[in-house]
Amino acid sequence: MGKPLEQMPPTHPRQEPRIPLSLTVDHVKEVFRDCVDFSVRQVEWPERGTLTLCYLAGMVRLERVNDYILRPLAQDGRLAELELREAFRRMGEGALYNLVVSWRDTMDRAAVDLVEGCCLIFCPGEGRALSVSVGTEEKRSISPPENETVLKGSRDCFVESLRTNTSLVRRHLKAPELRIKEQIVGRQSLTGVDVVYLEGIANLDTVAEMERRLAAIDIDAVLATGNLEEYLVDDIHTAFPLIQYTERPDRFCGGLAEGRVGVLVDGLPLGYLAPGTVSSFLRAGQDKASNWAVACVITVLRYLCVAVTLLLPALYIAMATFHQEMIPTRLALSMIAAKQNVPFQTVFEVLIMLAAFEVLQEAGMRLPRSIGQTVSILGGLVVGQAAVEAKIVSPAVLIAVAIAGTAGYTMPSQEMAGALRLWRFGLAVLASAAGLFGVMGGVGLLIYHLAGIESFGLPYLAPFAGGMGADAAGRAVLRLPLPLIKLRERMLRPPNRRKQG
Amino acid sequence: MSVRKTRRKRRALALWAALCTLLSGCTDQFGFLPYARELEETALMQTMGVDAAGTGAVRVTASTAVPLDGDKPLVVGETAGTISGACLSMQAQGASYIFYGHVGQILLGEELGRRDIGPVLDYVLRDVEMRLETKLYLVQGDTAAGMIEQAAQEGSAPERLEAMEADGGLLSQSMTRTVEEVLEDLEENGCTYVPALRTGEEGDMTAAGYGLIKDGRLVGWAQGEAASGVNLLMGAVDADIIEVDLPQGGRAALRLVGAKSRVEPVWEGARLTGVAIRCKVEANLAEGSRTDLSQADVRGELEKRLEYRTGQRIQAAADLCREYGGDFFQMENRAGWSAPLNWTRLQEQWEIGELPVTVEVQAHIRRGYDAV
Repeated sequence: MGKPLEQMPPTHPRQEPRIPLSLTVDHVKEVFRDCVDFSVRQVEWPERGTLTLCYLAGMVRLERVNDYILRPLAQDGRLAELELREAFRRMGEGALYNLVVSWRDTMDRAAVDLVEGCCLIFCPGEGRALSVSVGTEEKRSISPPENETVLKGSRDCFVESLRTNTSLVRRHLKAPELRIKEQIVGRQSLTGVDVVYLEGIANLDTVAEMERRLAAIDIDAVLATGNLEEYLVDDIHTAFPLIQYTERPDRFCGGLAEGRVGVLVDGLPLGYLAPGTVSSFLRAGQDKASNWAVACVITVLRYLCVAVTLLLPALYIAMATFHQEMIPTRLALSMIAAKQNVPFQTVFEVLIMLAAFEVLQEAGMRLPRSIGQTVSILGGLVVGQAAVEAKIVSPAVLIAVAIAGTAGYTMPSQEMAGALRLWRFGLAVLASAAGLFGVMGGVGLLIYHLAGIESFGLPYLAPFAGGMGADAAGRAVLRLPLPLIKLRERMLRPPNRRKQG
Repeated sequence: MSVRKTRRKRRALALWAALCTLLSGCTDQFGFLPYARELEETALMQTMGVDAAGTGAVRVTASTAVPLDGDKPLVVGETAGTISGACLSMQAQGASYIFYGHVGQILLGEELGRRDIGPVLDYVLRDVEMRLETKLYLVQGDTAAGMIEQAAQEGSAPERLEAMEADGGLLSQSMTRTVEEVLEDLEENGCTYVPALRTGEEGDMTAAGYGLIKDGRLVGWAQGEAASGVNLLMGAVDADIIEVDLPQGGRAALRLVGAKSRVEPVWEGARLTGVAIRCKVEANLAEGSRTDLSQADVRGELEKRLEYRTGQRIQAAADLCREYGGDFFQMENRAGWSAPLNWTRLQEQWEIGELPVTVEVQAHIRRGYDAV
């Protein structure tokens, strides 16, 4: 038995062509009716007729319309001598001072051109229009990255303009093998999404799969990152990120050179890299800029921080509530003294503090930076200290939660940190129910969950799982000196594994 | 698609049903989960005393350390047929849960020691909260309960014992032994030694050498020179002071900084005729006016006197084995390590009570502290 027809969600309307009208000035006016920015300009051709220019104010640069279109029409003597239709044909063949001039004969394509900043020129008796690119180039200038800062490294960062981003990639990777394929995603946003990869290095199956998934996206608009990410990943029933993002072109290009496939989206100042695995989310851009020995230690520390941020609150609950014998005697005595007169059970103390930590973090992120810092200081220091003095929480809980929280900040990927925070709550609840048995059960569940997900056919736990070998697993944690890393990672299945001589 | 939806619905339903069982009140269903106890509602016992009490019964006393708020330590005691029974009865005393997982020292009264220490060791071995690393002590001439209660008057037994453990290396007449070590020795040959305590003149706990255990019972004490000999024999000498007369008159103080003993069997053909203990002792000259260690004869004389004194000590310890007929210091095993090819013959002929023990000491005075 299916649902009654009236309860079924309406099917998404799709029609081809989108605008079933022929390409005429009147029809363009009809399509853009009630649009205050739609402008029409008539250009009189002495004694022979009138040309019509259509454009969207704000999307075109008026000086360019004047210089590239109107000035040649008014001043080019050779054009003035021709018949109107012949002159119109010559415009399309180079009489106008513009590199990007195209003929359009469908309303769909013409409408898109108008939105993208082109000026349409109509000639009476012609069934087509001349589209001249005179768009504005108003965009944010390339600035240093805010979220992925490095001490040694380039200072450029992706911006919202897709073409600027592809040019940034081209400037880092000058190889002619760099391929940039574009698809339009979003029925209303018509967002350009580029698949970027290095031919001969990226696995073509991964490229094809990425293109297939992009083509399958049928949504209204690509306005936020989630609009794309959740459609590209293999499994949406997980809190862990399956596709890596970066706002640094050098890191993006590093991923391409490793054999990953990149995605750039118009309007988003970041680039995606696929496939994403656990190890890739625990690598920071700084790692390759640091001395290899320092990078090794820091990476190992980062893996330890994963364990700390995930397990510390749960272990605290388990040990303080079930396994007191695990706590060193002096520490246990100190904890007992500190917890006297605290009215809450340990598990509620921890959960309250974890929740307060999340609230403070969220408040700090939503507010302007200066106020956010004040909120963090007020919340973290003043309220925390007051809560301890008022015996609402014990200092040991505050310290455990603070250490766990701080360890989480070492994650290079905030999405990975978010997933760990979510599981931290679950493990804390399990620890309150069954102590260490609960914690170990939860850890087992987590490993089972992670072992069950893939990113573009690659096991998420690779290279630690999936038969990649101990060497590959070791290299994921310990970075060898770069001259010794002769081959690309096998797990990405690149056609050409050798990366240096 | 519909199959996946159905499967998802079933999973959600199963999860919902599982969560609903939490509301059913059937807490017995979750009996397999461990019991939760809040830390602040727990009294961490750190020292336990066991004494003989009547026919076969035991008196168990337990003490916490001095709480951080400066209050008096909690001391509880109960008499029962078994240690487990007494510990369970003690739960009824006070509001807190009495937790034995942090017991670091067990004191055994002399009377119980002479009766049988086996039940105590067995209790530590089997109880889920107790640890094999717990230190074991014998109380000489007193009860464990009396000593723990006395210590609680001015501090607590755990703090006093921890201080003694930290100072044990300096005293060189006492070293700690864990329940695990004692059990190993008893399993090996039925004999062992356990550090002893007695109440000092000012009523505080004092180290009193070692109690000698044979077949699970206290049979005698190693005290004074013999106790120092035990430390030399076991190589547990960190900073003992030995005073010797100087050749030119006056006295010198030699600080023992190390000892390494080796037990070797003495054979005549295939017959075991004795045991030789060879000890290398290292010392520094701590005090000794006008003593020039660069003069070979002075150094040689001091070393000779040091060899004599330490030899006497080791001999005194070894004589206890002959006196009580027990290999308290596992000399058989150590002799076996020296002669692994003769291990079987050694085991067949080993009788420590009848074998003559000779002691050879080689002393070396490494340096003095004079600036001359």
